[in-house]
Amino acid sequence: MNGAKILSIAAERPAKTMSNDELPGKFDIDDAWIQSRTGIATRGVANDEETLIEMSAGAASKAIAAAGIDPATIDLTIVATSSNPITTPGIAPPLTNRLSLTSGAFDIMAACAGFCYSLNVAADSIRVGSARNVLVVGAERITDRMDWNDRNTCYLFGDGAGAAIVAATDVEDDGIGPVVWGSDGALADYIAQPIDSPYLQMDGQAVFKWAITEVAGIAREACEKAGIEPKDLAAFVPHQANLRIVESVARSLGVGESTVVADDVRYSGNTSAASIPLAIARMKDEGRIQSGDSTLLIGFGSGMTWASQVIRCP
Amino acid sequence: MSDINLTDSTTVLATLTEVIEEIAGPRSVAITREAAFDADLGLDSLTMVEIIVVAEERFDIKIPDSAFAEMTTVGEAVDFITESVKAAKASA
Repeated sequence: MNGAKILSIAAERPAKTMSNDELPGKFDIDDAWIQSRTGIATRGVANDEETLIEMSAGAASKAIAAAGIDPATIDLTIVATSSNPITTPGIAPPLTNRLSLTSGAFDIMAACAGFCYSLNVAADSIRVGSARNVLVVGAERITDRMDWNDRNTCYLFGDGAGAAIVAATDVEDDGIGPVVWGSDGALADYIAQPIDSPYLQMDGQAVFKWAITEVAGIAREACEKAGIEPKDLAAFVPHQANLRIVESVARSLGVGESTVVADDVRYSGNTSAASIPLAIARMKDEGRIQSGDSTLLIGFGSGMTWASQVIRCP
Repeated sequence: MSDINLTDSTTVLATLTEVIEEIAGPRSVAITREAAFDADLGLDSLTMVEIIVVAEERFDIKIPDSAFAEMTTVGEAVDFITESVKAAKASA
């Protein structure tokens, strides 16, 4: 049995950042209204060249370089996404080709929980010996699915990709805690893209209520399984859906005064499966978290699906 | 749950006031029965959802979305909560 740990996390953000004032829809809502309800000031909007594969490749190349591994030693590639423009193939096989790899490659579709699901699948693949080095990517072009004239969603989402290298290590050095994951398919219509619609639709108030009621309990269970008190966490990186949810969950969970809480949603909007690696990359770039920090992750979203684990920050 | 008498509407108002200020911070106007959540207290819809979630926990009751949607003043919320707490105690 091996251990698994994260060697690196890197981000690829779209070149264009759109402010609230630049949103194309015409509404009676302004920058102050959006920021007070969501914390979102800007979001990245991918252009035609910034495809899911290209953004994923950008993030992956940086993660591979930061990990200092030979790309040829990557034997599994997992891409978490819910915005692949085609039904088949997935993003992972063309991504591996783009990176000149021939590793195992598949996508995971668990919406905004996708990165945490993928991280656990990667870690378990390493633990049982099916893989040595795994490339995990969370990548989204949610703005492709956005109705810029939908007053409920047009200001929420953004695009981007984040990537991590997960590698085999000694069992004693394992840096990815036990996962707590689950789903409640009875709530499948909370966030969904109906078959007859080109757009993502969301019951924002229902999702908000679900999140502030349920997420802290799931996160607390992940801490218990990892043997750490929430107040002792160095960092807390919940899915960046809405700053109000982030702050409410952090308060309910009881993180410590010194726990750094991710806030990338302010700059990136909700980037679904990409939000957690993008948030970690920003915190690392800003020097707010350090290598080795105990960091609680929790992804949650459409399905409803959720997954949470405590990691050691790369 | 505390052992204070939550079937008394004055106590419910005091506890709900605590919840509102805990979630939204001190208000610039008094939290009275007549105060409207939106127009008087300046509480937006997401803040109201947070208040309802904490109130459900504090009073150990469920506040259905349909009831929540009809509450526009503090008094209406106090009356609903008081009745719900009484009903829960009666069936316990």
